[in-house]
Parts: sequence; structure tokens; C-alpha cells
Amino acid sequence: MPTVNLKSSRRRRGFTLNEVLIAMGILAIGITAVASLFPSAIILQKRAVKDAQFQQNTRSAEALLKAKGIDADRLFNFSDNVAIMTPTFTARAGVADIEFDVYALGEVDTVYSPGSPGVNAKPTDLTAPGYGGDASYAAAESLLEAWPEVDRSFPSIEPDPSRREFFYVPLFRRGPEATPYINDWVVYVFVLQAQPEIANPIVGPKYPNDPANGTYTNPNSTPAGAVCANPFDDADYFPKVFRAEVTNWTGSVATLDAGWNVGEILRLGDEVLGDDGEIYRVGDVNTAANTATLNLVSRQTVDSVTLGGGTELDAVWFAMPPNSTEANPPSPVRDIRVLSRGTVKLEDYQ
Amino acid sequence: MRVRPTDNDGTPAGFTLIEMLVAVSITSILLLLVARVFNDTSRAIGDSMDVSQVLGTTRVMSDQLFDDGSRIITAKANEVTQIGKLEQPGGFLVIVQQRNSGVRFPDPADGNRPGLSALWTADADNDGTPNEPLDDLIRTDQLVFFREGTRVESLTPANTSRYDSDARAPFIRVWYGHLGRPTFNSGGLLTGSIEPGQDGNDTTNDLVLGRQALLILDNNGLDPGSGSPLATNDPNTAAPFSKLLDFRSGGKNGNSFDLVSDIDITGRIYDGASGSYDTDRLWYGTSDVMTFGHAGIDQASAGIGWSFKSLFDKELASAVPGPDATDGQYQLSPYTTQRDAAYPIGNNAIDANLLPTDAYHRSALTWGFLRAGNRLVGTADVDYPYDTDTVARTHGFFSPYVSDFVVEFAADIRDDLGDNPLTTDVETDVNIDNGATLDNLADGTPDTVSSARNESVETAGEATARMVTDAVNAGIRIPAGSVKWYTADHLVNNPLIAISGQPASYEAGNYPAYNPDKPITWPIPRGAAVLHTFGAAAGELALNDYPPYVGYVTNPFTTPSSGGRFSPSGPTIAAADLATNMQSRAVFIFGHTGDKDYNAGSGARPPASPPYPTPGDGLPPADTDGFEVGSNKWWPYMLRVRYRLHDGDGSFGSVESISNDRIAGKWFEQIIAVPLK
Repeated sequence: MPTVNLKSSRRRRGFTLNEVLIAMGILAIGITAVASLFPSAIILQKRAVKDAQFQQNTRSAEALLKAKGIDADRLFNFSDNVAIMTPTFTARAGVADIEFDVYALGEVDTVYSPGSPGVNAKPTDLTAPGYGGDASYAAAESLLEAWPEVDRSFPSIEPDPSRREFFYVPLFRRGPEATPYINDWVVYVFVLQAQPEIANPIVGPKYPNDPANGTYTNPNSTPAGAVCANPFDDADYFPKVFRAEVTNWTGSVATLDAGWNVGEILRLGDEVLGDDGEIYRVGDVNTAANTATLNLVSRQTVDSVTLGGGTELDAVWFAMPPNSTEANPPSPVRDIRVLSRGTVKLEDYQ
Repeated sequence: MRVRPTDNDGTPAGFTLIEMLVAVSITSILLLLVARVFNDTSRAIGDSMDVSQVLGTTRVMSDQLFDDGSRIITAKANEVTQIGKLEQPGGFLVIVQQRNSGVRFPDPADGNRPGLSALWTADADNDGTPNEPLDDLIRTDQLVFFREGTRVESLTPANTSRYDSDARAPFIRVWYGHLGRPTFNSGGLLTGSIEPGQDGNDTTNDLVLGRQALLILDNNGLDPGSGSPLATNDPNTAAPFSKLLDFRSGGKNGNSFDLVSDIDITGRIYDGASGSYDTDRLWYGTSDVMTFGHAGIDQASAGIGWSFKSLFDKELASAVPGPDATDGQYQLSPYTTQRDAAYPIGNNAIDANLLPTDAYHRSALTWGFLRAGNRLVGTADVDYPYDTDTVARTHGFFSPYVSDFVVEFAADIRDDLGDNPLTTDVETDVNIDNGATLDNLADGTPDTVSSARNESVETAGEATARMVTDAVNAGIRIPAGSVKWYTADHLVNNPLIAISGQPASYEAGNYPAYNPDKPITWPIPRGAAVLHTFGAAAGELALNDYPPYVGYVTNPFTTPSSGGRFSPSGPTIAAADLATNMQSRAVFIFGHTGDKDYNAGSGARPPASPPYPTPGDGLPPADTDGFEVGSNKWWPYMLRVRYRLHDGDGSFGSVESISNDRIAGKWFEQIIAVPLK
């Protein structure tokens, strides 16, 4: 910039056009940077509202659980039926995931359906107790009936679950006090949140007033061999929680085998539930090798329930994003938490 | 760089016109940009503050509701009730459902953002229909419960802790409901001074939710005037709200323990005309079920206030034999004379059996006294010693900017219609028509919507069956397993109405049109025996019947004498009266007797005249008849509290879940499990 000699010039030189342009350019950049903060703040605040709703919904889920007695009698029946299962039940419908000691309300079964064998067929009569004497099925269905999906999604005022925002997928795992005489169950819940920001491929509204996005659909096809926590789904609206076996667990790197490419489903930062009772956060994902780095999440809610059953990690449960036209849809996992804990002593029921 | 031309004297020439034009243009663009950023920033900050306000409010409300709800009746393990029992102390739960109109909203003029009225009526979804008219009837429900315990509920809003009382408080009452505001320009209020939105009156609107926690001491408690910590630790002077609002009793300054003041809130009011402040009453709890008799509202000897008064009135109670030391659970009394009296609920007296324990009896006396102390009833009929009873008054002002406050419940209602027996349990498909004289068994879980198939196979004419079937046919999805949230029939929102396009056919009455923007709620089945406490006569509350005490009470502001909107077998109201009756008030009263079940199960009822049943007298106790012991069987399982929040200037809006409309405020919901034991 040329120097200005006050003594030699009678008039001060103005800024040149270039100077003004540069200054304004810098100013514009600054303004833009400052302005960009506000949308971020708004997004954070929306998230805070969701947090509040999330807390309320979790309380509501607990209330529903309590009101329906699931934490007592139902779990007792559940446990009673699980106890008689053998690994062969795993191949059949029902709750048995006995190999990993983590149980879902039901599992995808490609070969078994009471009465009419078929793929993922829902029993024709869920309400009949016993289901032809299949104890494991009765256990599963008693829970399904007691805690149906419509009671595990919020807000409850929305009559159509496919348009709800929060979804709770429970998994039951033996608690630390479990003995042959004491049934102790820890209820983990995958809390899944519909994300309206996600482009969703729903073609046309299913129902009147159906929003164009923000609802879940199932994958086009359930991966073959997948073990799903919540397969019974009349309307294909519920996000899914699947299980993958851990074939190799070295350091923090798990090799996953679910019979399909799990690596494409896992998202960086996702929370997954291990059959060791721990909750992990997904680090690097190698889709080619089907491996994922799993970092232990240390949280009080989980640590307060120190689980037995060994420290081996044999399987993980994870959630699948909604079917989306996006190449890399974000994870639906909002949280994994211990929702409720039922300790039922056998002698109480003599 | 091009050399700038110089003047003759060698000084640089000025800017050329082109340069100036360019510079001015760029400056203008930048100014526009800055203005836009400034505008957006202002808006963003305003929106953020709105969201923050709503967020804070919902957290406070949710926490308090959940905390209160979890202790509706349950005594803590280390609590010993007044009657010396640790187990199942029992309690009352009252749900009042009503609509109100004429609500005054905060609606200040605020530059570039719409106020509440504009937002409320806006056609945000552009479907040609405004969302809701400003004077739409909003829900102003109430939730009241009593329980026993020695711990005092939090006296400070949003404080969920509680503390031990050094007095054995037999009953703790918690009340939620909207607070009323004095009629504009009446009652001595300054003209024009309390209109919402005026300077200094930001909170003077009708959207104020109140919550009271009352510790009711009976005469065994300490006298707060003689050293009780309640007297020295005045919760009002120690509370932050005292700096904002001058709590005082209605016309009686300084007495913190007078019931009349418990929901009278006085504040400094800005007088727009004189530019000065004055002090006057801002709100009062007209919605309180106990204050229906509030001066200027309805002091006549009719209406719910009076009814409740009669329920708990000492004079009535005095007709009841004193507590039987051997059987506190059975306090039966001759009620013939009371029934003959002209008490307003269905023109029948309150059955003294409504007082399930002697402890409740004492509560009734206390309450009756308190009414007397409130001068809502004549003191001549209550001679309870005045200075040995007290109420710890708390802050009625709980949460501002709550427009709708809705309390619905999920229950296990036995469909024991004599003409339409429900022979199949909708949840288990088990035939439960066991031929018992007394209806069918409840299944122990909240009622849910079964599949349309199951619902439709029920007896033709069964309302819910056709509701579900028709809904499915109309493409409205009501998934099986949905909890049935019950509400009064005039507040029902079910799809059948919309499908038929005409007054419902499932009941011979006129019902509000189905509103697809509202959640589906279900009517309490109507029928003489559906609600077990209904007797043979229309509208009566538990006449000649026994617990559980579930009542359906008519609205004091309408004309129950014409049959009553809620009378089980009475005539329905005319369509012309529907608008009025839309504002009707339905009251559900649930009583929990503790672990004693009066129901003999065999159909035998307690006799209407002495001798009354006592244990061992030959009448079968409840636990032999297949019913669960305890009246918690009919206690509602869950409460769903929905509320709509606004910010201070009413500009906050959200997208409603069901209609996908942009609406004023934002709905929240909290489901609360009602402790059964």
C-alpha cells in the first residue's frame, strides 16, 4: 500500500477500490462465519427439545412396562420358558438366543411358523395362549402381546406407529443376580429415533396426512440368515435391531458374521450392545473385511448394572437404518439404555 | 495499477462516477446482507428463547408429574401411615375432564413474529381451514389425589424432593389444574390493566397451570400456631416466587395457612392508565374441584363443589357411626336419610360407604372443616375445632403458558353390561363369561384395542368393535395392542364419527365430530353397570353399591336435571345444547380401599340397612371369589397427561404430529404408571 505523506499532500488519499473490495470481502466472510453459528444453535436447541421428549418417552415406556406387569410375572414366564430351551430352539421362532444369553421379543425365522410354515410368517392367532404347546413361542408371544410395538413407540397420541418418532426395541439379558433359583433379567432398550432429515423413499403417503418423510420402512428384504429382535411387524414400519456374531475379538476389533455384510449397516459412532452386557461405540468400520472397531462406552446407567456371564464378546446387537435412497443413511440409534430390571425369585411363585 | 489522474495541482482526482457506483452497489449489497443477517439473528435468538422457555417448562412439568404420579398412594417403605399401617394405605384419585372457552392468551404485538392468536388461527398447512379458532375450547383438566403418608410433598415448584413432617399427616393432597383469572374489569381489578401482553403484565393470561401440595393435619397434628415448623418456615416467604407475587389470603393478609389463600395469587398489576402499579388478585383456583363454590362462581347448593362438600362434610359424616376399632375398613352407615336429602349428584346422596376407612373418615371431617374455614359452606354445620387443623399452603402458580392440559387414563374396565355381555377377554381371547352374576373378570392389564377381527366378533352393537372395524375400513390405522385411553364420552375422539359423517350410530346420542387432528380416545362404556359403582338410578354415584368407587359426575354448570350428559341411563342432551355441554365437566372418582375388597363376588351386596357386614359375618371376603384382593383392580393403570406449552409472547409454534399442521405451541405427553399398591 502506498504510504501517505501528510506533509506533501493537501488532501488525504482515500482508500482505493481494491482496498475497499478486499475489506468488504473480509467483512463478508466474517459475517458469514458469524451467521453460520445461528443455524447451528437452532439445531442444537431442536436437539435439546428432542432430548426432553426422549426423557419423557423413556419414562412413558417405563410406565407402560410397569402397568402391564412385564417386569414381574411376564418376565417370570419368560425366564421359565427360556430355561427349558435348548440351542435347537434358536432355529425356531421365538425368543431363544440361548447361545448368547441375550433374548429378543422374537427373532426372524425363515423356516418356522406355527401352523403354516413360511418366511417371517406371523402366527395366525397370536392371542391364543400356549400356541399349541410350544412353550418358547408362548413366552415370546406373551411378551409381544404384552408389549406390542404400538406401546413401544412414541408419541402415543399419534395413532399410526409408522408416523411416530421414537421406537423402543427391547432385549432381555440375564442379570447379575441370576441363579438357578432366581430369575434376574435386565431389559436393554435400543431407542431409535426417526430422523425427518433423512430422505426417505416412501412412495406416496400410506395414510391420510402421512408426512412425506420421517417414517421408517423396512429394508427391501431382510438379509438372509439375519437374526432380528423385532421381526413381527404387520406394517413394516419399525426400525430393526439385528444380531451379528463376533467370530474374532482382538483388542477392540471385532470381526462380525451375520451372514450378510453388517459393515455396511454400522455407522461410525453407533452404539451396539454386546452379549457381554456392555455397550460399545463403533469406531472404524471395514466393510470389506466385515470388521469394526468397538470401543467400550462407559456410562453410569450401564455400569450400575454389572453383568455376569463372562467377558467374552460373542455377539453384538445393532440397529439398521431405515431403508433409504441415500447412499449412507445415518444411524437411527438414539441410545441404548437399561430400561428396567426385573428380579423375580422362583420361590415367590410357589 | 493504473495511474490515477491528477488535478492540475498534482493532487489525486476524486472517485469517478463508475467507481462510486460500483462502491455504492457493493456497499448496498453488503448492507442488505448485514441487515438480513441481523434480522435472521434476531429471529433466531427470539426463537431460541422461545424454545428455551418451552423446554424448561416441559422439564419442570414432566419431572413433577412423574414424581407426584409415582406416589399417588404409595407410602415409602419407611413411612408409617396415620392408621399405623405400612401396607397399601389406599387413596383417592380424581380426574376432572372439561373444556373451557374464552381463554385469554398472551398475544403481544411483536414486530416480525406472529403472536399467539395469529398463530393459533393460521392456516399453516394451507388447506383452506384455519387450524383452530382462537376461542376454541381448550382442555382444562384436573388431576387430584389424596394419599396417606408422613412426608410432605414438595412445597416449591419444580422441587421434587420431600421432607419429613414432624406431624403425622394422614393425608396429602396434590392437585393439578388451570388457575382462573378474575373476570376482566370486575372484582376491583384495574380497568385494562391485566390484559395479557400489557407492559408489566406478561404473565397475566389464563394459561397458568397450578399445582398444590397440601398437607392436611388432623387434630392429632401439631398446632402450627404453637411451634410447628410449618408456622416458622413459611414456604411462601422462603420461596422465590414471593419476590414476584405477593401471596396472600383472599382479603386476609398474612395468614399463610388459610385454605382460601392456597390458590389465590396476588400480584403487582400494572395500571396502563395511570402508569402505576397496584396489587390485586391475579389468579384463583376456580378449577379446583373443591372450589366450585368459590364466591362469584357458583355458590349455590348445587354442583360438584357442593357435592364434594357433601361427600366430605362433617355433618353427613356425623351420621356415620364412629370408627370401629375392629374393622376400620368397613364403615358402613345408614344413608337413607342422606339419600333423601336433596344433594345434587343424580339427586342422590353420597353413600357414606365412600369413606373406605376410618382414616378417610377423619379426612372427610378435615376437609369438611376446611371448606367451612373457607367460608364456602356455612360454619354452622361444622363445629370442628378450628385452630387445631391446618393446611400448609403452597404455591398454586406452577407453570405458565400451558393452554391445554389433558388427563386421560387407561384402565381395566369390566364390561358388565347386562344386555351386551362381553364374553371374550379382548387380550387373551379367553372366554370369561363364567356365568357369574357379577359381570366378567377383569384381566389385570389395561384395556387395549384388539385386532379388528377380534373386536368385530363381539356381540353386534358393541361400540368399540365397530369403531375399530370401521376405522380399518376407512384406512385409519388403529393397531392391535393400542392402549385404550379413556375419556368422557363428550370428549371422545374416535374415527367412527368421521366415517359415518353423521351422529354416531353406536350410541343413541350426539357426539362431537371426529377430528382427524386429534388423538383417538375411547369412551368410557356407558351402561348401568359398566362402571361398577353405578347403581340402578341414573347419575348416582355409588348409591347402594360398594367399591371400587368409580364415579361419573355431571357438570354443575349444565343441567343435570334434564337427564345429564353422563348419566348412565339418562337421556342424552339435545344437539342444540351440545355446544354448551361440550364444556361439560366429567369427574371420575377412583377410590382405593387398600387391600380390602368389598366385593363379595357372588353378587351379594352389603345390605342397605343394619346389620352391616363385618369380617366373619358370613359374607364372603373378596379373596375367595376369584377376584384379586383389593380394589386396585379398578384403579386406573396409567395416566396420560398431555399438555400444550407456549412461550411468553405466544409466538412459538410447532408441527403437530397428527395433522402435520403448524400449530401454536407444542404438545408434550407423559404417561404415568399409577401405583396399584
